[in-house]
Amino acid sequence: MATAPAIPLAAAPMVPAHVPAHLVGSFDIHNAPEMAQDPFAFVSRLHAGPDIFWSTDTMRDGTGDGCWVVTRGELMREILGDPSRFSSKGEAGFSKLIGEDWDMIPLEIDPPMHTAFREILNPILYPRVVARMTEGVVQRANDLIDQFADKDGCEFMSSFGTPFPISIFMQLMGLPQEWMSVFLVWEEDLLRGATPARRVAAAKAIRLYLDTLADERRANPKDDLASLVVTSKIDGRLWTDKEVIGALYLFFVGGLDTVASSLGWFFDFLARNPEKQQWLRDNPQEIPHAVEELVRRFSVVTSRRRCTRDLDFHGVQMKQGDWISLTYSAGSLDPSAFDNPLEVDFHRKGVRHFGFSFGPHFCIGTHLARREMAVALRLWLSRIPPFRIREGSQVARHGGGVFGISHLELAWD
Amino acid sequence: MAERVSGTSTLAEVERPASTRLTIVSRDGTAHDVEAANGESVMLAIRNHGIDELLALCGGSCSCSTCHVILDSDGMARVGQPEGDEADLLDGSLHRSPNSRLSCQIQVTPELAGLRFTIAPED
Repeated sequence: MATAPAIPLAAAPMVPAHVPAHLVGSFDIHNAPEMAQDPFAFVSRLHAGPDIFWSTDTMRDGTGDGCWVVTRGELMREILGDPSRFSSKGEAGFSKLIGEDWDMIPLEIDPPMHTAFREILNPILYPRVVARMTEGVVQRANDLIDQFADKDGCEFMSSFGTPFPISIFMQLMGLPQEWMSVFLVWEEDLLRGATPARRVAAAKAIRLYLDTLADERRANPKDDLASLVVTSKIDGRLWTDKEVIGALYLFFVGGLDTVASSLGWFFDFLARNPEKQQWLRDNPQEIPHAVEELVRRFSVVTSRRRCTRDLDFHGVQMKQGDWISLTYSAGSLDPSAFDNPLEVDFHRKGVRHFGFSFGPHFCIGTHLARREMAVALRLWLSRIPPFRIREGSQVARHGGGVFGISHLELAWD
Repeated sequence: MAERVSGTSTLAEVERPASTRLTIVSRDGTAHDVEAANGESVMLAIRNHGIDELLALCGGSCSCSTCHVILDSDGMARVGQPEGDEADLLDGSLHRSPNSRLSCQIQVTPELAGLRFTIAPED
């Protein structure tokens, strides 16, 4: 392990006594200026520094505490694969934000209870269920493309990147389509609200809305995820109110952002790399594999785990209660696992990325996400001529807990 | 590789192998002889042998279906049919065959000696 932190601080703030000074650094995924340009390049610079260091500015849950940052894929697998040492309880911390104490289910609970909840929820997103949804997914993509196919360009996120995956997810979960713009404001404020007050207000609004949704579905169950959550049983009993809100909250937050953010990065990349775009046009049968490589190159999520006891992790002394932040792109761009990790190489073999996490909390929506991404690329490339970033426009990119794009003007002839 | 418990001659103390030899066929058709530790999963045995094309993205949680392998009929009789989550995940594969399994759900035992596991094409 190298001894100098990736980005040394001029003056180190207070850090816990067990953290050696030479491992203290900065990794501000929320506010560092470079996050607005290229968060993935910012992340990949971590690999010049130590594999494990203490960051004073990565976490943003109101406590101001520092956390460990792990930069290597193999270390991430070890952490994500061992919930007995590294718990996900409190991972996102939205309930704490509003003074409550429920866990997001199944993300914020550990095995064995995690396994029981996951067994109930898995079937709603199984590949064969997703396969049945494909016709609707294709229809939705075509409907959106119809709106701008005969124009000379569009703002990608509002025209396609956001409404395409989100409308599909809303239908799956049982959220009313006409509320989409409201949900998106809440989601934006919750994940990227500029002040704690905005994040708290959004967290409360989502909580109240989901309470209402749960009540509605208890009274009148439908064929959707919300109804499954309020009607299914665990250990022979209905889920508690806390368990219901925890599950609905996780799906709401996870379903409304990640695929849209990923598509933003994919289309930003293809607009700036015409030869890659052309290769996909010429080789549409390779799109599913290309999706895997794009998810590797642009792994958008940062998660975290908490030490369940004092432990020695590869020579670093960690204390019970210490958080370990896991920026998945650091694992997906780890040069010890991938040659030229920042290169998008559609021929790359063994693309073992962290875009859907790893271990027991592996993304439950992975099959739907992959399907949506492949359909988006296939239909877009078959219907829209070669596209580029519109001349004179600015792409708005951002860091945070989910790296994303908020404005992307595309143009074509 | 075998661990021998010596000194007496009761049934439980006959020679017990610690590993089992499997044949893994990678996507380019190459057959690899893999010495797999008994008790670990076939998925781990394949990955530990350095065959990286088996992604096993979720790490053995039976969530991702990227460790799909295809056996021959005799092999299927020995490892058994997939059930529950595993069968449901396999249903989503374009390359599902009657002899498909997820390798993370197969435990290496001496009964599997000599079996061929062919890594399924990527979905």
